[in-house]
Amino acid sequence: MDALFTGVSMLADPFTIGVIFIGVFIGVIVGALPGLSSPMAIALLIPFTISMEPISAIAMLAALYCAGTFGGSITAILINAPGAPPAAATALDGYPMAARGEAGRALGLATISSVTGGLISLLILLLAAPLLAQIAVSFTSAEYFALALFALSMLASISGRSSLRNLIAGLAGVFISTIGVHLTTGVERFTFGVGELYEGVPFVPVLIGLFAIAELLKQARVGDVVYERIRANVMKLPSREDVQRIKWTVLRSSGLGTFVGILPAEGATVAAIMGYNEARRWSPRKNEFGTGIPEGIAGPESANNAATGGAMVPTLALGIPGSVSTALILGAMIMHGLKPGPFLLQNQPEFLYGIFAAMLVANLAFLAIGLVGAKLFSQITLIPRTILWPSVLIFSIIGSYAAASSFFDVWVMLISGIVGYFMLRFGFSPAPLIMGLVLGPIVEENFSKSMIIHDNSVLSMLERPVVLLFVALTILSLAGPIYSALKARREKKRLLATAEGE
Amino acid sequence: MTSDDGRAPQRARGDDAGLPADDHKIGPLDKYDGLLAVLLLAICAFFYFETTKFPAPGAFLGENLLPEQFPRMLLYTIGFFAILLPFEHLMEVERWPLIKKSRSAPIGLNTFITIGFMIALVTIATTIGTILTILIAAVGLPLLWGERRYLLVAVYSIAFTAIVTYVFSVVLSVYFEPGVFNLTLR
Repeated sequence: MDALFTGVSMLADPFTIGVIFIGVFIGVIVGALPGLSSPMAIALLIPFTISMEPISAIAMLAALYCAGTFGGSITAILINAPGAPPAAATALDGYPMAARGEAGRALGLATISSVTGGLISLLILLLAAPLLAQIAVSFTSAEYFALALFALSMLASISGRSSLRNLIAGLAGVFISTIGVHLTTGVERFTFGVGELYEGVPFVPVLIGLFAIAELLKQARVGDVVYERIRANVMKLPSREDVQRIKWTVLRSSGLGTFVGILPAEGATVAAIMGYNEARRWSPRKNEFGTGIPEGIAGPESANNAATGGAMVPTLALGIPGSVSTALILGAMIMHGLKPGPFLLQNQPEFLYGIFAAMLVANLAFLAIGLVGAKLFSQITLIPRTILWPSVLIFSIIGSYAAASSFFDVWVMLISGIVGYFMLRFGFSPAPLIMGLVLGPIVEENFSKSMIIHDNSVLSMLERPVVLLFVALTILSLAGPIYSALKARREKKRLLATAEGE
Repeated sequence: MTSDDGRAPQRARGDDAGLPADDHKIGPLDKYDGLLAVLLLAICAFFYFETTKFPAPGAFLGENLLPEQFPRMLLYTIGFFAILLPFEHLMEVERWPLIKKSRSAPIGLNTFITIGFMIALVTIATTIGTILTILIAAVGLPLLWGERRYLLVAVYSIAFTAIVTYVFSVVLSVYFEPGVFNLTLR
């Protein structure tokens, strides 16, 4: 109870409240701007938090994460250009509703659904994280290794263009994490005599490079896009009839979104797509989806925002990121000297409540922003790209430089960006690489320890039921995409055969 | 049947209409993914070779996993997945066309110019100092990307450089390399 009070009392600190609001403001702007993403914004914002107290820094990043997911829905509804991938499903019904003159209603539905999804998932975070941490405290290194392996295998199903490429990128991330001195033996690995690599590849410059510079290079050949805007002077809160209509959709999607968020590696985009599909599956008006119906907005919006709270559960309780954005938050926690995992929650429970309070404030703040500022935020897309992207470049340079005041880190950022750009072209997503980079040290450390404990016998490890469970889940998560691909292949063959028959 | 310009419409020969024909396939292999696999295998081989140069740790650390064991496990797995890459198009029937489309999109000249500009900027950054590096980025990239509203560029670059420098150098106390021009706020 004391911890809860201590955690929530941080809201009395004007500085912390201030940074949470700044996080929300930046999050909504970034979320609303097509091309900019929450992970990119978190990566660029981490250097600004260097001098902050860890709790304020993480609160700011968590607030940005929540708000960034919501911000994308504004432009998805008003200009049919989802500012962020999780809002893509919202545009399917949000834009048609706005186009027929009900933009205020669409924004209202999106905002209320987002806030409800966010709040429900926060409650689950508050209840589930300590319970999960309590269980995880009894984990040995073998269980941790199996859990991290499961998280890595989930990369196969993370949203992207290819399961195989996701796995390669994830393993490449784990491999990059081995660069530097080997802690148990003191042997330098893959440093090639570069002193700056002795402690490993700097994390923040790699993040910035992969998310900001790679996207900047992608944007270099894109011309200015003129969006057709739908006028929305005010957001309208949903009517009683609308609330009646969407209440079960919101509850169902919030639960689903939270669950998807809790799964390692899965994030808001997957949750939103599943939220939309489930809303349609349960609706008696299946045929009206895509024409601008309230359930089509409420489903994805409540699911994608619920995924943010859900993703924080494994991040805080286990130290295993639930999404790319939480992988970055995890990186920021490590940068601030924290050791995320069950012991952090046991020893500093106020940290969980602090994050809970920050995300609660963020949800309420973007409710206010949605109410009064939707029109303003939709205008953000008017910023010329010749000003927007140079600003991203400058933040990337200074953000990479700031942590160690070293231009070597700027080189790392630049190389990561160029590699990331070509990765994108060949269907490799940067998200699994980052997840691998974060999970790498956990995998190696626990593998090493468990091999010592179990006399170098993997079979002996498998005698532990929790290890066996995670290994089974790993096999299932690897088999899932293969099954889906085979099913899709069969379906394509069947369609081709039907077409030829006709 | 003819198209608008009077010529007979060409039948799409690729997997998807509008995409290049299947000249990227050699039997069941995808040519470009095959090259990608060779590249990945070469990288894996290079790093594997590097692991053979790791010094042996002391005997008292014998119980521990050797420093090369874990990276080698990763290299084997990456290598195995890389071998599967050229066959991926046979499985990923839904998402693979997106990869094909993405890799066959032309890389614009602007992308190469931007890469060149950034490399040149970071190369001279230590010499010219942090503030001037930010200023050149703020002036150079808008101009390279075709912005011709010079007043806008001037106002933006000066204001943005000033704000970023103040926030990081003064508020967050980040050390800024003064460079040969000795430019610093502190």
